[in-house]
Amino acid sequence: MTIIGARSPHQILEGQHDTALAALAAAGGREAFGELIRRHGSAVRGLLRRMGAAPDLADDVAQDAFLLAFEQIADFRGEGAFAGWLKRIAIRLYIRRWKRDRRLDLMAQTPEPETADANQGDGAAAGRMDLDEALKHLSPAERACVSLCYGGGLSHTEAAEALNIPLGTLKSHIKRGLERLKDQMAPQGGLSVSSSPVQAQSPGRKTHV
Amino acid sequence: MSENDREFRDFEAQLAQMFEAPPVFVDSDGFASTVMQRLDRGWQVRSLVIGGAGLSQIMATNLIGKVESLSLGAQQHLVANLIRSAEAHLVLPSLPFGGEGLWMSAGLAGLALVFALTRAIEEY
Repeated sequence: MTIIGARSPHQILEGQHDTALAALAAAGGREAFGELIRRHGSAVRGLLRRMGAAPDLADDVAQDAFLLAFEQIADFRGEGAFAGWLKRIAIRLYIRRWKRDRRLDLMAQTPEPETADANQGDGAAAGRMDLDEALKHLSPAERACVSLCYGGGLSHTEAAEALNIPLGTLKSHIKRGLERLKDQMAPQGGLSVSSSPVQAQSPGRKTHV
Repeated sequence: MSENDREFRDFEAQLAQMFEAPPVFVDSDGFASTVMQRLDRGWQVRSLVIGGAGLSQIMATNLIGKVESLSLGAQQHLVANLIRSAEAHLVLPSLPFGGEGLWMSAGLAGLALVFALTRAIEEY
């Protein structure tokens, strides 16, 4: 007998709230956790790339973050957003990776960001640039600080602690970063925010039109 | 609040909104599959380790129980036999290095094992 309108387990999971899925995952529900990965994978990968991680490294850290999240899923009480909890795990792992690899003394080095090029593409030519493109014009420190606070949802104090830098230094990086972003995104006066803010930055990313 | 301040606040709000919109990856399904595969692999390794540890514990407990059940004379006989067997098969002077070298090698092997185990745990 065929039940019309019967939903598959996958469809049922799709309709569940993050907190419910996390509770199922905590009880050993692998499929529920799979749904959480599908929902938040792009956000975590995107955040890490926006922080300045190379695509491979960002994906690697994002995978580790999900594995760690699964181990610690019972600690998620649903008091905040699951995405925020997950992003914090990813941020912590990424910063730990920096320290371990010792190849990025983030706050010590402030190389010159990419200079604005008049022929950067359609977005720039039209006086508007998407976020990911604009972030490339920030120094690594500015980029990390801005992404942590605006993308990772960390407060200034939390971000300063995570990066192990003084609060004042973090605020300076953010201020300079925001000014630079503002200039990049609205070079002809007046910010023009695209309705589809993120465009393709890598071969592995779809283009929003 | 000045015009500049207001403009900056608007920009901050728009920026936060833009950060909220996650990028779209064409390989997002592949990413999810990879994580699930790693999760499954880690689960299998853990099951094996836990199973192996349990089995070892059962065997060790069984062995200790059997030794304990032996009479004192039998225990002494067993130990004497073990020592005799070790002396017969493990001839230290014939080795190219002394007893210290043997102990050092055993220690290094132990360290290597611990290192390999921690790496494996970290990997999975």
